[in-house]
Amino acid sequence: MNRKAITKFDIILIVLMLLISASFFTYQALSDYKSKDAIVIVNGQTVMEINLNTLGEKKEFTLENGVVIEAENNSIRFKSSPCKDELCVKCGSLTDAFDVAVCVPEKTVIKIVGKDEQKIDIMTY
Amino acid sequence: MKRQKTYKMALVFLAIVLLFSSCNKPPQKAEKIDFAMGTTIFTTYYGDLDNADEILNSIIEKIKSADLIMSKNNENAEVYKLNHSDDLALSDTLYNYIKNSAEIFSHSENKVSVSSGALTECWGFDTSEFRVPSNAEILDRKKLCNDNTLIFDDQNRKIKTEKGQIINLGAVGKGAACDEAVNAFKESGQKGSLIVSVGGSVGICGENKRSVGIRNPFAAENEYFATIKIENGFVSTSGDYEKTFEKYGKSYHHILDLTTGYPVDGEITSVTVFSDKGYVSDALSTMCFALGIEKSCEVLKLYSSQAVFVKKDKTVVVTQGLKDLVKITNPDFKLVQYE
Repeated sequence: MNRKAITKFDIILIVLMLLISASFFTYQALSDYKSKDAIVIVNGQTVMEINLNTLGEKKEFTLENGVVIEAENNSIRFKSSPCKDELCVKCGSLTDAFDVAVCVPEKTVIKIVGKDEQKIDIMTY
Repeated sequence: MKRQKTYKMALVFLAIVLLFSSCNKPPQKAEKIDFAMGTTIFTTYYGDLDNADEILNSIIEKIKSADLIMSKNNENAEVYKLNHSDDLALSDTLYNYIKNSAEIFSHSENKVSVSSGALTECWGFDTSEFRVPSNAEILDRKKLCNDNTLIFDDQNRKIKTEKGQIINLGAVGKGAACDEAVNAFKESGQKGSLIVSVGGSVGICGENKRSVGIRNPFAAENEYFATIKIENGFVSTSGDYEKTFEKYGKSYHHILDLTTGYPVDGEITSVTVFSDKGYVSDALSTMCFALGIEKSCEVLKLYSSQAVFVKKDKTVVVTQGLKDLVKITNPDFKLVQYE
């Protein structure tokens, strides 16, 4: 019988294990990356979901309430709004998970939803 | 024999990999965003997602019904009715919020009150139709903003006001709505945890520490300069960047010093207060903004509350109790001392 400490079979098994675990983590990392979407909420209802990874070039969306949203690869922003103060436009481009901008007068929210870890859970202001 | 042992080790290894990969996953959560009280409501539930929709809907309903109690401008709301009648018996909820808030504001040296409506209305802060009132108008209205003239009748839950006095829960309403939401969640006996934000007043209830970003007073409304870690409790912020307008080259904000009738002009640009009740954190944040750091620290102790003050020069003062919980994330800001 073979009494060597490490057999060929062991090595194959170790390599196999390493491959399995590596592919696991890569798959996870990739699926997190892929899941970077933006949602548009009007009056509490999600009216649009935009995949920010497959967008390619800049795209503009005009909502029924007159708000204009501009999305491009990995970012989204309020481009204009019929509201008086345009605080929503001043929020600029959103890129990270939980990044959110709100237009209170038009009851419109844009928000990044991704599986990557959120830096914060909520804001106080 | 040997081969069997290797198999076992391989299995253990696989189990560990699987365990790690599941640790990596974010916790199960559901979110809902809606509007009430003229502002945004964020709700997040962590737990069994089967009931999440139902739970979040009931929380949002609870906040909307709080609005229907505390709104000064909605004809159907209880505060509106109180302001338009002489002899109204109030609900327990409203009576207690008004009485307890007036008690807190009694430490404000008359700078803040629950009867501030006469002044906030003439500035247009309640309707966002801003204007600068004349000096005469301010002098006139100022007299109607003191809580000392209110008469509380505990037995019948009635509040007698002077003619022209207007009850305004603007400084406590959002925090109180967080109280209502968190209480409803606790009473429902649901497992899991909840985060609710009503216009920037935050309530957190659950088993895990959550990270709350404190708004950067000098940047857009979705940027923060520091985080505060909280497991259970309420946070509210008052700052001079909310509801602002410019007239004749001068900028005005919505937190009035009722002794002058004009917006507070002090050393600080924002205050964030942490308390075990939402309306307390909301009331205290407004009051601390008006009182300044030194006097605020004495009052905060009375209500076992903590605060983060941001001065106009971007220096930050934190009370002792938050020493290990507040982290400044924006290098433009400097933590200068603990009070």
